[in-house]
Amino acid sequence: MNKFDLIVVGGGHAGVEAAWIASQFDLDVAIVTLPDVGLASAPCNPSVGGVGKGQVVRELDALGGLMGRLADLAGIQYRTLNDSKGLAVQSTRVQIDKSRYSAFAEDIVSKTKNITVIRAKMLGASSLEGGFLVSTSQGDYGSKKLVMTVGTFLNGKLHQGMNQCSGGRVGVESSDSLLSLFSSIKKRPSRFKTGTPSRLLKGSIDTTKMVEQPSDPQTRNFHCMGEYSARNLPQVSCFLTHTNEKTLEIIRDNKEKSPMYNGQIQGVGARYCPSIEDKAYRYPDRNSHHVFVEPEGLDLDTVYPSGISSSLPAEIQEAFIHTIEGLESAVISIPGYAVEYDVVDTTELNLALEYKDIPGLYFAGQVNGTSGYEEAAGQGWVAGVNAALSCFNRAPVFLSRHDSYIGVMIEDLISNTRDEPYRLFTSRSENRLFIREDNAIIRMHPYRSYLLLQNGLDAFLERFVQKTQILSKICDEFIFPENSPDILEFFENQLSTMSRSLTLSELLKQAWLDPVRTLERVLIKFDIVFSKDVIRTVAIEKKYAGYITRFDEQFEKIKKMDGTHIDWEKISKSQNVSFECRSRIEKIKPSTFGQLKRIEGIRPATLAVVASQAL
Amino acid sequence: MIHDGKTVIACATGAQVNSAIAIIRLSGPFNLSDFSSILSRTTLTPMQMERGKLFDNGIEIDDICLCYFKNPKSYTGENLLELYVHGNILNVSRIIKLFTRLDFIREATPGEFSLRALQNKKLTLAQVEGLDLFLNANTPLALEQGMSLLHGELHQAYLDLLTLYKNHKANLELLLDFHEDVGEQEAKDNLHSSWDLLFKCIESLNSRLDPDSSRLLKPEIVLAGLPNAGKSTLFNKLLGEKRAIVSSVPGTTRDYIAENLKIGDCVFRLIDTAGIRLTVDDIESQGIHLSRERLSNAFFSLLLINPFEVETDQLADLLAGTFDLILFTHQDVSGFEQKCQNLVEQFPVLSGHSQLNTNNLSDISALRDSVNKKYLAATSSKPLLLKRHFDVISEVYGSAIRYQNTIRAQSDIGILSHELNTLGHCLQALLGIVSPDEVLDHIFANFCIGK
Repeated sequence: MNKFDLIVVGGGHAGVEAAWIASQFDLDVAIVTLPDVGLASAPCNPSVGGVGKGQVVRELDALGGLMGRLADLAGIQYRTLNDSKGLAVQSTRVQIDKSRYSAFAEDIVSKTKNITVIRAKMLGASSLEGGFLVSTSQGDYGSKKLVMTVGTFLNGKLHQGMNQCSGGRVGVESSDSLLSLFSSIKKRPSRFKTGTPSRLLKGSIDTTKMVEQPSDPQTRNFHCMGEYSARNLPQVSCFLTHTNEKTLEIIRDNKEKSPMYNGQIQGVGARYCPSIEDKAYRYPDRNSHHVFVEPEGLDLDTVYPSGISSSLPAEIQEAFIHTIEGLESAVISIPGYAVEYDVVDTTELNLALEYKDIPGLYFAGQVNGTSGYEEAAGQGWVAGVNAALSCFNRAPVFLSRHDSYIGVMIEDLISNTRDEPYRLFTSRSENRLFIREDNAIIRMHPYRSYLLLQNGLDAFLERFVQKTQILSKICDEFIFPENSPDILEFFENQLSTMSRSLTLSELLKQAWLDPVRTLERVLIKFDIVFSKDVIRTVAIEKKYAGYITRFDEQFEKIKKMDGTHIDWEKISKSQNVSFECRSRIEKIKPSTFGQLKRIEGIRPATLAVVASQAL
Repeated sequence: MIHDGKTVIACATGAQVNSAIAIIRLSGPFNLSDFSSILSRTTLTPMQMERGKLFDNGIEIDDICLCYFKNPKSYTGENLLELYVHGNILNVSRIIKLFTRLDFIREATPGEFSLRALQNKKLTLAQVEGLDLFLNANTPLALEQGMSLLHGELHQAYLDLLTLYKNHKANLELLLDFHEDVGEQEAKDNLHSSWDLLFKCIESLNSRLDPDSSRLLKPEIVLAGLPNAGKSTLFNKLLGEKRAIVSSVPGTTRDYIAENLKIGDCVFRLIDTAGIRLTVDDIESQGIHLSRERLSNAFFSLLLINPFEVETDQLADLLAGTFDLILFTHQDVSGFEQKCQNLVEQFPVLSGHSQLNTNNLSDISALRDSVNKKYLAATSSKPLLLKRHFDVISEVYGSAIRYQNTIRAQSDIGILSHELNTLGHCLQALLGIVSPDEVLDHIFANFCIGK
């Protein structure tokens, strides 16, 4: 029997990241993945990034993950979202060529000698002598650690109109009762549901009737060591069209044929990603919705119509699609469908995503009830890196919610049972002005250094951090004297000219100035050379420094409290904690005060007791 | 506060006097069958008055009415049992002992029922404060405002504030996280209109703030003056009984003395202070210190001057403060007019003084009238009485003004949301924490999301 240090079950975005980062530790890693699916495939929308998600991709990239590199290799349209709303809240989204994205992932993995890809169906798994035994259709394999990234394949069931079949996505068989041998693994009581729209043939749609959204040549590529904005592939456009009253009339008239409304689907879908049926039935007053037509690839002949995911019968889908401007004669290549699947109870996991009662077993990705490739990839990295560290008996690495969106997500997941699929929104973070795309390197550098991998990326990050420190110091100490001609140009349209001396940092804070362009212009004037990335990071840091410091001061105490480690066993034995709180604490096993605080139903009195006694 | 998961018991009506009925309350995770050894009823229909008997070792000790409230539909959110027993003091205490003999029952600590209601989210903190205000009210305004906070218009105003805040916050998040779903223009319009509503609500609460309002909660009438000015005499006259020791030896009142005095519908604290003078007597000087403190917190301050015994320096010192009323006493002593005139020449501030003959009933009732008038004027705008609410709303208002300026000057939504979080942080003290999930719930409930 072949033995590995780590087996990753599932070759999606979570699985590939988990296997890749673990392989960096020179461990023997295997990915068990279904024979007919490519690695890191994109079964839903053909894009990577988005509001909040772009930050995750850059965090992952600085941590040594693959997603940013793959997105750049396969990127065919770039956009900066929230462009007009301030530098702190901007996010990057890239449309990807699906087949190339997966092919690049296959290529990188195949060139990594210590990753073995086992293309087989998993039959079961069990604990074995301090490790795990994984049985597959290709034979049995042993491993010290096991990472489960099985996506929607846990008891997955497909719905399309009245047709139902077992499966995790269209054309792929599901791994039914995959966890039968892990009989003790707790699952969420109700299943989750997700859906995807019909794919349309590219040649059958008329984009001249739609609003074109071209690729933005200015948007920064994802990979921090790569080119700033030179693209690997030719760029194409997305197109915007709308549903109308006719579209919605057809959907509303066929309500009884919708599996979601006739009781056929019981699973809970995400409210932020409703099917077109949801939108039509729940908002009867709204008669137009955005439909973004996104290319699935340069060579693929299909497009992804974002916004009209549906599980209605194929002929009804076709009928309502034909009412949409530009899609009048669209040909459906694959009709939309919905999937119901089982989800692990994530309150049974710790901050390393390890199942608390079975050390060495990790869960990551959609099986944890999240949606989105980026959320999956972020968890994959956390599970993979901690599985690897535990192979060396090293302490796990926990990302904090105060400096990363990955940290926000993981803490949210393990603190509460979510009642719908979890997606990251920037509003979930308390520290949005600090958790930005531009400073991902600064934020992730300490975590990455902890891994002690010391390869090219580490040297790059180290240099980057040093350079930002130097430029930051220059900004603080560079003083323009009173009425300096050098900065008059920045005050052109302002009534008040600066009648006092001013540091460069202070100049960058002025509300009417774009700090990045201003810093660039000043540095050019004085022949000081820094890379575009370093300038951007420092300029934006200076712009928000005052707010961030104020936030830090305001929440200093809370932050300190939140980070304080607590002994949950001691607390749960305390006579001063109510029975109800005790049972919740025993279930979640919080390790910090912040986590305790975020447990649903924990009473203020318990917090007061813990704050006064345990801290 | 102890959280041992026990059922608690207490007498809910005052137990200090024998009365026809007393109400004893139990709250906690009990089952009615737990009481089978002492209570004749083991099943009761919730929220219906029923009849039963209490037994001690098989002997009937009281014939009672009782009402059962099943969790969560009870005041505390726990199972709650009310016993209407005969209100003899001894009876009440033996019934409480009867129950506390069971090891899962203990006596409640003061305020514990309300604390449990708070913890089980049956009441908000503001409601508990309202209840406290209501139960300990000395004035009609406090009664009214207590009830208003508990269930009435103020409670509703705070709920509105919470809803409007959530709504505005949701609109801001909509613009950042979901602008592709709802469209940029719609999101921007919503942002401004939702802020206008929220700001109006904050402004209207702010207009009810009166920095002096904490004095209205337990309004004090303070009698001040130099030693031997006749403060204690007036004190006794107002109360109609001899409470303060009266003598002509200066410095007789060393501490301050306080009594309740009802004027109109309102109960005031009438306070007789130690005469204020420079002294070497340590105890007396402590008393004088207290006098000055009382004066600065007074709702109504009276300065009494005995024109025959004035030490100019000390009077000048006193007159640096402000008083609602200045009275010259010892009107009946000969030479009074002349003495007064001399003083007015020396201290022009005294020109508007009144005279008081403590033996003249109409003088006393005129004094009562002017206190009542001031009280009615001060409460006509129904200012917020609770100091904590005053502080929080002032802070919220300050933060709202800053935010208002930001929303006008900034297009940077990141900064805007940062300022709004600061405002939200202030609001938490009044409304409780609004979690990101609640904001997202609000978004999904009110907007068609999903591109």
